[in-house]
Amino acid sequence: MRQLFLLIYQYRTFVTFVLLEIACFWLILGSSKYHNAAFFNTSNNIIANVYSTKQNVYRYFNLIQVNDDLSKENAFLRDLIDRQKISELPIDSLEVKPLDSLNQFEFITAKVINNSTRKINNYITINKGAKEGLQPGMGVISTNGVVGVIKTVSNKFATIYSLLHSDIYISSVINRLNVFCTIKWQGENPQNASLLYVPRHVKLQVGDSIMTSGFNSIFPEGIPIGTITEFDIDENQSFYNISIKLASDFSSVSYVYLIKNNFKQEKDSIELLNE
Amino acid sequence: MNNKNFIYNILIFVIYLLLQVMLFDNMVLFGSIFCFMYIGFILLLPLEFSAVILVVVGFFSGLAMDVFYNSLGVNAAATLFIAYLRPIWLSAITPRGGYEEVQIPGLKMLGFSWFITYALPLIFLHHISLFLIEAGDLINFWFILKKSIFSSMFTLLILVFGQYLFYNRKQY
Repeated sequence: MRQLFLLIYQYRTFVTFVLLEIACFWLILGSSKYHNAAFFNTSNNIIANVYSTKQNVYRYFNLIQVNDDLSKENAFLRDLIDRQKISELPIDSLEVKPLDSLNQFEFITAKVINNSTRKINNYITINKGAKEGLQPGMGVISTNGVVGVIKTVSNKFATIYSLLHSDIYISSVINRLNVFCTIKWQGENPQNASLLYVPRHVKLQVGDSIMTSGFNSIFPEGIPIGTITEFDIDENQSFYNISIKLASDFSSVSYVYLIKNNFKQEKDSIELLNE
Repeated sequence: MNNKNFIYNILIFVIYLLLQVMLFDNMVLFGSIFCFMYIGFILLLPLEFSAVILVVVGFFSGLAMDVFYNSLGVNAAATLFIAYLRPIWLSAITPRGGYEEVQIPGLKMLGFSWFITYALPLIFLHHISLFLIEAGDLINFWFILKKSIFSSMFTLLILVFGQYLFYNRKQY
């Protein structure tokens, strides 16, 4: 111990210098948004590359589960294609053009290379970035339901605010009743979230499914989010306290779809006129 | 380092700071040649200051400048870098008679050419580390290099002028 102190004393100038330089960089990163962004961008790039390599090893062990999910996905998509084909059958030799709304949303697949579910604010990293057309603010879903919203995008990677994040609210609707409400994660259990702003006159049932409302330009309508597991209301409250079980299993999400809304700019600019 | 000396040094620093902020901040030649003469304070501190004290003084003086430039930590990092290098550089270019009887490594005491040898590399290192940290990126590196070369020459000019103007009556 004494030797350690002697050593530190011998190099005390250098040690002071290094400590103060670290303090300086901490100040710089804390106060200048530009430096903060540049630093986190570079570190994100490096870290994402490391995660990519790690996932390459891990996903080999996940292949059975992933195969199952993919075959379920295939079945769902085939079903969708079949339904579309039927709607395109010529009637009276006139071709029925697909509705404009079918061109609104495009889905881009991506693989999750980093995830967390145990923190207060959880983020997911995926292996697609600005190169493939991703932008911050795009919605992210998995086979089972809503996953989150894109936070930042670099050239080859992107980070996503997971639904398990204290700042994320999803505009949603109770399917059976068409009642609009909001989903927020409470920060404890990665499988449950809360449903807010459901007024007391609504007749709820356990098992009601909650889907996206399509109201903001992030998610199309009808993407499942979860199902109600329990609800109650105090005498003096105007909204229910509702707990829902999330449809998407965040601890095992491996492939996600990013939603590109081709009509987003037009919808957002016309909504801006409201303000 | 007794109390009177300490207060005297703080006063000198305040003078450097005011000069820098009021006057030399706005003297930017051709839009890119800056002058950071506040590092004259670090360069001309008495020789009896220990290396550790020098580093800490460099940090705080740089931090004080940062407050005025609204760039928290950038000047502090650069200034404490040269405050760390000062004793090493001083021992590397010790003049023939050693540093006896010399309190301040100034122009009048040790000669014009010695002072240039002493100050120019340190000033250049300060400026280039300042501009590099501020830029955060190596994209405009040649521009940054040019800026630091010319700015360090400008700063050296100002410091030399200042010494000829002021240090005629003080301690030798």
